Amino acid sequence: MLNNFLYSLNATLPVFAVMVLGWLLKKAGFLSEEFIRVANKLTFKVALPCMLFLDIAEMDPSQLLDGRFVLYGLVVTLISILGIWALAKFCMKDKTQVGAFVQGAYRSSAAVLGVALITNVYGNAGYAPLMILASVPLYNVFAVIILVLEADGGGKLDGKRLKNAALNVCKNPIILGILAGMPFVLFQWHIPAMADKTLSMLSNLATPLSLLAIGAAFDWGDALKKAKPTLVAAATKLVFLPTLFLPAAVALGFRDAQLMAILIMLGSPSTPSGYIMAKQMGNDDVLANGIIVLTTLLAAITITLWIFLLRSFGLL
Amino acid sequence: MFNDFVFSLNATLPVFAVMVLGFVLRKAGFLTEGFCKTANKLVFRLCLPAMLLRQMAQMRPADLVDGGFLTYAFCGTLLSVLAVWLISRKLFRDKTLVGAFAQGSFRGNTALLGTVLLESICGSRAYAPLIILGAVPLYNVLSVVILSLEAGGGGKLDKKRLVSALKDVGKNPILWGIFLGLPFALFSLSIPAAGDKVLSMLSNLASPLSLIVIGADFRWQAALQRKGPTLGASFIKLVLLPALLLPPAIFLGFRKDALVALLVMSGTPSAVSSYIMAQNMGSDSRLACGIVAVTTLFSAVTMTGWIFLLRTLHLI
Repeated sequence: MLNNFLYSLNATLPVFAVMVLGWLLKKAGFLSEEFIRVANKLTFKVALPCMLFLDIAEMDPSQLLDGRFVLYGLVVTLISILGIWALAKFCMKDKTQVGAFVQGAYRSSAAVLGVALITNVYGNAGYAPLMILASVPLYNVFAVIILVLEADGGGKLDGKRLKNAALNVCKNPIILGILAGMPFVLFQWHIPAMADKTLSMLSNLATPLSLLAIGAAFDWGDALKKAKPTLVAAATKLVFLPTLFLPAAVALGFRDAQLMAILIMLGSPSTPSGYIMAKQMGNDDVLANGIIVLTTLLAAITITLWIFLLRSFGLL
Repeated sequence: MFNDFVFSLNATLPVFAVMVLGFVLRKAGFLTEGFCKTANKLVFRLCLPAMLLRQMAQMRPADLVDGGFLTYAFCGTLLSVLAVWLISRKLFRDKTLVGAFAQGSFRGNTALLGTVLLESICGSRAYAPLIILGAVPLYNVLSVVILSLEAGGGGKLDKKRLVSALKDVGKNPILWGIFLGLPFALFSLSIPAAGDKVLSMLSNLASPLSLIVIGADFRWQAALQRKGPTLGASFIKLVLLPALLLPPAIFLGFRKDALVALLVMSGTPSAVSSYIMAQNMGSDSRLACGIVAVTTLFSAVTMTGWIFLLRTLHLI
């Protein structure tokens, strides 16, 4: 019991502690806006792709070829996006909030925070690359579709916008890193020691740098100005989605590292990049920020409890 | 033979590849001046101290009793500095050159590049605290002594500067990291798991971030404005000092990781901070800047050569 609790705390506490450190350093004027901006770019375009490339390339072929995991991820992601969207359209009175609400409620920070949490537990990204492959492309394409259709005054989805969204997914450095690693597993290629060392040095940047940057960019702003939709979206993201889909995952036989990746996919806080997209595409940016801030804060508690629960049942 | 060569390349090439990446990213406008400045601060005040604290905390009382290595590192550094100073006084009439030349010839980038190379060669950073304790305080204090005595117009020992240099050593966050780790080593304590994970995340940042910044700060323009002295100082730093320090070390019985640590301490390129100090203390800053650039560039060759030599002699 106590051991399981300690295990869960060790899994989440360090990750959130580094975020808090980033926040404090920003408040103290130590980290600048410019640093955060470049650090984010460096993480997204260099460090994370290197890390995911290495982790995929070093996978066991049988792990990669087990399509059930990716299939589960795809189906669950699709159901949760469409389900939340339908419910929001049906139940929300203020139609200007639908876009930001839906995005905030489904779109996990799978790549950044998810990888950090998984690495913190297992020492490598484990099933994170496959989980990202299953969820992130759908997250991103649907974010564009939903934010366009639900934009202030109702936007129109034209072919050009959709094509752009699909193109951006194909150019996403994180996805490219994962795909580039695939042939190494399938054909059993070896990464030369020198390249392996260089890439692993770069991938060491990913977790700490992105956590510092997330913490530093944390901005309370008007987080609770629209309390009701913010709270509902946060509850959906952190509690309802895992409650709905974790039992299914357990029933399908996913355990240990696979189950951890699924939990992280379902129960991670909303991704910070959602704020910028909501704002640029004419959706409610105050609500978008509120959901990110609240889910990030509460995730420290909810993810710890989820891990504790799964661990107590002997599933992790 | 061939294997030894591959070993040496594997030890150095990744380190320099990440530096080159930093250089390229800066040329491409990806990394900005402001980012590099903050990243440097982050490494010096947070990441390196965290790393050294952890390294110290992993030591045990028995490791501390054996003072032979530290004594050798300290005396070796002291003698090298004095020898270099004497040589520079003989070589140059122009006082402003003496200070910059001497400092550039002895002041290695031990804390940053030294620890990275150490880890890359040995796969462990166990000796990092020892070479830093042996070299860094001496470097910092003697740089001030020499630069103020050799300042333009023939200086006296600037007492105020010396006192503030001694104070700076006392406030140096890198040394604090080592001191804070000391009680753990003395009383055989270990850092609680969650705390250790936070520290390890921060220390993971140290190597890649400092390499990227060193690469980004690389300035070729200034490198050969004072060709003769620049090349002379670089030769002393990269070839002569290790050639003087290593044979007695081998004679005294230092092998493997201990010997690598002494190589890294004596043969790393000049520290970037030597340029800033030369500029602030009325010495020839163009020469100082040139030495940093040239030693950084050539150390890729000399360091590989040294490792290859020691390896073929079966000493490491």
